[in-house]
Amino acid sequence: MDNLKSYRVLPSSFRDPAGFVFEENGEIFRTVSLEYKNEFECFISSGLLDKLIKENLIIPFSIINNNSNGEIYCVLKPERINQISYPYEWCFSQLKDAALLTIKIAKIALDYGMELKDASAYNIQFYQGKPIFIDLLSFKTKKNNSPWIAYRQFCQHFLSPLLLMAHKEKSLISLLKNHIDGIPLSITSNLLGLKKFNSQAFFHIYLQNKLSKKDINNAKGNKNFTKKDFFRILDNLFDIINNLKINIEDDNWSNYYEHKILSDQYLKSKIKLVKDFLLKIKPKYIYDIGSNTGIFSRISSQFCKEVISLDSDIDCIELLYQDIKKNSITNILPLVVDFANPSPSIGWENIERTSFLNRMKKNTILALAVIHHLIIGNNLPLTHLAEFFKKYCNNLIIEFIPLNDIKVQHLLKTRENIFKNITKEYFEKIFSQFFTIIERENIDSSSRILYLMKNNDQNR
Amino acid sequence: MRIIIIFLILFTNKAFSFYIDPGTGSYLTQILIASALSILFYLKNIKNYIKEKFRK
Repeated sequence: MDNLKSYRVLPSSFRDPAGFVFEENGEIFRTVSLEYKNEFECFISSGLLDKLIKENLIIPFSIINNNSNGEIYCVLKPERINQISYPYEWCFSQLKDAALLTIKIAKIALDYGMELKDASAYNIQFYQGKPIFIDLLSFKTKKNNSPWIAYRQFCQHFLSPLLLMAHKEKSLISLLKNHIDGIPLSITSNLLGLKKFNSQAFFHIYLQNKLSKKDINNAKGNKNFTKKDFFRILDNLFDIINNLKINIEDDNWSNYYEHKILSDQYLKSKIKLVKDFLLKIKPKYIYDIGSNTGIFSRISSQFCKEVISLDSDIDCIELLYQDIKKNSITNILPLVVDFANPSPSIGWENIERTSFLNRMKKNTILALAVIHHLIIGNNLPLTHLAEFFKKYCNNLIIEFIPLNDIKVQHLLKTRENIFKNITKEYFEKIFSQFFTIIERENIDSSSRILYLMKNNDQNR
Repeated sequence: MRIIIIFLILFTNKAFSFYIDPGTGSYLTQILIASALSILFYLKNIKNYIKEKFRK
């Protein structure tokens, strides 16, 4: 670490002159620039850092190099986040908790004479089941009586998507994929319709948007914004967000296992087989693709370091997140990801925020009762699917569902069956090109088969 | 007074141009909200004071 030669600066780390994030030998580090030295020392000496660490609000870190090196004042090594996620992959409650955390930190910072200068949703990650603030250089000394510098950013990154989700449509969070610096207030204002005049949106969205389009001189010279005013704004934002709620629809997938499974016997048999397979492979990370409300994620979490539960249904992820919060489960991360269209790379040069697939760890994939949706619902050839799994996992637990299955028949009800070649033999032939089949077990009370496969490439 | 000035700006000032810093509007919004919230705070105090008086 003495000479920073072989490092790779992360493409997401170029905006802040206070420092940058880099990767070396698989570890993540953050530099503090000489320019930010005084602010960083103040962050520590004021007691703010200790307070945030004590309350588990900020990522713990160690200072591994405090010898000034060119423009670098010191290097920090934060605790590793196993799976990086982005706000457009979160459900409503995840974004809401991230927003409330940001305000809580801004208020504590103010108590210690400092100000939160960035309120980006990308500064929050999920760590041990809870949101945590990861940008260690986001604090600056509060010097004058001016309003919150990150207010607009907060409204675009948090308040806008939360209001749209609560009042219009939950899937509008995906607008964050198109707008890397948060949903523009003009768009939120338009989409909210008459709701923009309610007490939650009128000032922070509608009025701010209107005033932002005016040519006003010397407004920033206003020095009459007191600390009390600052707290009033933060408290008001906190109350608005804390009171936002969404309804969970009672259809689709969110009640799948409660109402729509083949039978209890089928479920019991599948649970036993999954447990047996996991005991055999002892995985570190499991990606539960098509996790639904996470019944198998919860079971798998007892056998590995962390489960990343992925489903395209935002209600399923919402229910799972609420459940892990309620039961204080620390090693499941639920994310809204559609495997037929996973999050792309966005931002500067299309690498600033990398795609979901790029952020996956090649370990174990659990694909239970999901491939028939990809094959039939998306016309995805089986070879594409096998190649995909080959690229993204070492171990694969996959459920094969034959064409005579009642659920497959349901999917084929109104369409031509062009999938007649999808038989057990064909499935095994295709997957055997890339995987070794370790186990093959029939699931009770069904014609479905559960496979445990090992990637032939994994030792290369 | 601050509220009146901001509303005057809102309804009289020049229209949008691409060279306007939106941050300025955000500053003004915060001043406006803080003013409105402090008025509400004082009104609440007065209401509580009157309630207390009548209780006695």
